[in-house]
Amino acid sequence: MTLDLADIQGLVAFGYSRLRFSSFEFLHIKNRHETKRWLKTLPIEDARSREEKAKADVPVSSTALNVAIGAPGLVKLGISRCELYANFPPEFCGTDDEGAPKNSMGEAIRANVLGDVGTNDPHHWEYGNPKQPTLDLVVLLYAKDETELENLRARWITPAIDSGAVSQIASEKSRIFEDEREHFGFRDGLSQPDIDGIGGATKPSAINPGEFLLGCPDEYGTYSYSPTVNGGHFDFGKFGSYLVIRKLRQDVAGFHHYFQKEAASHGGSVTAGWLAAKCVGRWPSGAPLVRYPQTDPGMEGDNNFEYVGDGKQPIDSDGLKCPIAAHIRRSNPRDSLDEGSVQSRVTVRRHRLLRRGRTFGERPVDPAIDDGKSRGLFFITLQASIRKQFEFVQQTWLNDGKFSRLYESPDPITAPKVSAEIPPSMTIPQDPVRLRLSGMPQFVTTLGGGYFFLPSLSAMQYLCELPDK
Amino acid sequence: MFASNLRQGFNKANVMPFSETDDRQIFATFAPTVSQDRRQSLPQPKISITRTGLLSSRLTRYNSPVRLDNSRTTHKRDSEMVHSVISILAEVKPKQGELLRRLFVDDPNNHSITANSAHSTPLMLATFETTHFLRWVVLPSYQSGPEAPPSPEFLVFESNFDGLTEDYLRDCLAKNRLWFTTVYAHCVDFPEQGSDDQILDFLRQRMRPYSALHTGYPHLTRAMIDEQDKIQRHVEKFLDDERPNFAGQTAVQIHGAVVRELKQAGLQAEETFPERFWPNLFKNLPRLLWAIPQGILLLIMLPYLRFREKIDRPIEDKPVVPSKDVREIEDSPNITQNQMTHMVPIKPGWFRHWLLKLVFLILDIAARTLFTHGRLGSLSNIHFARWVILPDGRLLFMSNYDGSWENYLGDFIDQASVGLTAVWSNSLEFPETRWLVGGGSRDGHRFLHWTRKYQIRTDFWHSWHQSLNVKNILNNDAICRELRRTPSEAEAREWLRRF
Repeated sequence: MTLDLADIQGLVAFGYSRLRFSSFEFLHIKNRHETKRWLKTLPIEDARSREEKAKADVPVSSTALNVAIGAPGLVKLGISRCELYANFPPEFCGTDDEGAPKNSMGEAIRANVLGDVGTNDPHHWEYGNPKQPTLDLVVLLYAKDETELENLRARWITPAIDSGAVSQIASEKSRIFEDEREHFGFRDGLSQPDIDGIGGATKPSAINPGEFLLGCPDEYGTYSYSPTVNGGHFDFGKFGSYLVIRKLRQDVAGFHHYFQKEAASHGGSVTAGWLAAKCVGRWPSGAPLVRYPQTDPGMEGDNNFEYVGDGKQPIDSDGLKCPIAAHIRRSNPRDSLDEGSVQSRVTVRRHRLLRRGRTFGERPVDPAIDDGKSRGLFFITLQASIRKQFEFVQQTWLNDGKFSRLYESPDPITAPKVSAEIPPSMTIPQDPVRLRLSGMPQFVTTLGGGYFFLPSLSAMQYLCELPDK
Repeated sequence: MFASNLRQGFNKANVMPFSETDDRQIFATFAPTVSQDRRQSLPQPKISITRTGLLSSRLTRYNSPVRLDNSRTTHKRDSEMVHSVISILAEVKPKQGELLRRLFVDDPNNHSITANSAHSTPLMLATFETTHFLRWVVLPSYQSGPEAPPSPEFLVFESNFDGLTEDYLRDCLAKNRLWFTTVYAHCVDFPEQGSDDQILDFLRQRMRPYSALHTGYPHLTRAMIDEQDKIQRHVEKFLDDERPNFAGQTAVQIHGAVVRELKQAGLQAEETFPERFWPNLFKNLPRLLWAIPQGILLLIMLPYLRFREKIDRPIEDKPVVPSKDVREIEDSPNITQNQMTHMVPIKPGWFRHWLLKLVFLILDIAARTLFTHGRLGSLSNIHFARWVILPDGRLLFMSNYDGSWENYLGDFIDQASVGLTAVWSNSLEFPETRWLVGGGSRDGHRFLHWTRKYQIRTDFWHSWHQSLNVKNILNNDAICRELRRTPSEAEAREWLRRF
């Protein structure tokens, strides 16, 4: 099956890492007719490379714009409520007391799955909880610098707000720093799946496109489910994808204090940096611990590694180099799941995420001082099934303290800390006796977010041309 | 303080590490008598069973004149594992199913899925000293065809426990008579004013044999699991505290320090049963002889099977919106342990019914000869799971597992598809199968839709070791095994990595 890259939104193929500045415009539809007219005019970037575009005589833009639609937005734009609930996956379709569509991520039942409890509770969110106006649309803008980003916003977003088509719920500035590190100081976004059929020559490790695009061959050997509309006559989902956005605040000062304190309490035998790296699974440079267990080589992030391997001597099955509870070993376990390395690779391929996250907020002058400013990252992923991919990874691999062979050990970096009967801990395997961290505060807090559908360009056009009811 | 609490707790227990135990005494504690105080709702001292104790009690029971009608079929593996499992199926009086359901829900302390507190309920959870998991489910009625009369609702009582069924039921009834009479008053033919023996007879007569069973730790009793849990926690704490002092010591020395510490704390791991039993081929000969001609018949009928597979209608690839109850299970916040009750009609006609029974027979033989550690296949997150064929032609599946719903079913797709497909392909709307074991659950999307569609609400479920998953239980057991011997340096290093 060939992918029609001209029909797929660019975000599936690119992270736009050269366009370091970005803005996510969360919009609430006020006037359906005006909104459609406006949407029709938007220059949505497709997934063709520069060369392909040049060949097809398509102007190559120095900015990028993508659009995704929430479940309430789909109904406002003309998908029938009945078809939404019957044909779209249940985790995507929230509903309020009157049966009207809502953003599902902030609903109580999803909060259970996602660990949005305690301080993460959707009731504290800035946007996206069921009590607030629905997030109908999100427009993602990418540009090289801030001026260009402002121009892009003034040209495409402001008119829609001024004309009364939509109201703005949030305009979120975000960026990728030059060194590509997030606020805790670690290089981020290194582990990305290669998609078969996107981005040039196919690697043997490439994952079938159906894990990220609807209506395409997936890793089960079947086709990923694609919702149809208009009584089954239009394949609305094909070449679309589901977009998850979460705004996560990072407590940088808390992070530094905790590891300083722990290092001191272990009598100086370990450093704060070493403890933090053990919790992340990589050194700040991005170098994986499983390759460089002693010190940070300070080189470019390496992503071609495994934890167990096929050799007689397992690489690191006991976690002596990279702890089993470490963040990167559970968000992408590679070949280290309990079922053995061969089966583990198969299983993991069915739960991959295409990551498009960016940071928000300024870098602190001194990471040890809490300056009271909000900073963190926009966790953004694309997948063909929110439930099987994003929610699964969040629930089963990150937040579950029983991951792999662990006892009470949720993800040390990202998991919520709720008062538990048995307090969580983090084991750092060492010979002969492991080191155990306990009393970890919560470093990351959910501030808002939503589930969106990133339609193909033809589905977008279909939506814009639906008659107003 | 922690240690002294543990010590106190241990002193209350009946079995002391170094006391001379005598079989009769243990048997007496193992088969509790009716005269025990019913009002006692605090956790009672843990009863521990030594190996000889359990065996002798078993032997006694085998020779006793009171035998369960269905005992041979219901706990086939009695001589091979320390647990018994029962499924009691009682017909609910017409129109009383809803009342019964509400009985489980209304009770403020018995939420359908987690029942943590038992102080004000008529069911005193603390009295179930040998139970691992139990559940009650009201099975909805079923119409096999448009003209067929709807079947009655049934109440299923599933329990997984140590020891023998007869003793267990008698004990449950003695301590929770009010609960049992309140619940079963909604069932047909229940002797409400009857004696304990009459009620026992009522329950016994309604036991249904399981068709296939999976157990995560067939060699461990609850007392062993609880004790090993205490030991593991104690050692973790000890290692935290003493770590600075271990600098320069060998793993063997540290192992020795741990053993001494446990001795001081009065915690000693008992010997457990072997993980596997030696298959008795001679005993299985009749089963084999019964299976072989049927297997040959199946080979002859393969073209017919393939023909049926082609015309059977699989479920549509379209999301199934699960009921609210089922969503709560899927999306339960606490996923250390989880449960599932699933019920699907078997495809109509004699062929599928026969084939299903043959598949179960083959699985049974495999469990007795090849997979003698209790597990069918490689899944390591199932405590107890079983299939039961209902008299009205439905196939009931009840499972007590670890982790999220999504992960559990993902394992079915990724790792256990052969056995599951062989069984469930005989039921309605299962994803398309090829030659009995091919395809089927490997079609992940359809398999999940199908499971959601036929999953039903579990009205009452309780686990007695909620904080432990199967891997924890087996790791604790491995830790304790190593405590009883003197390891080499390499072995001691390996052992320390279990913490």
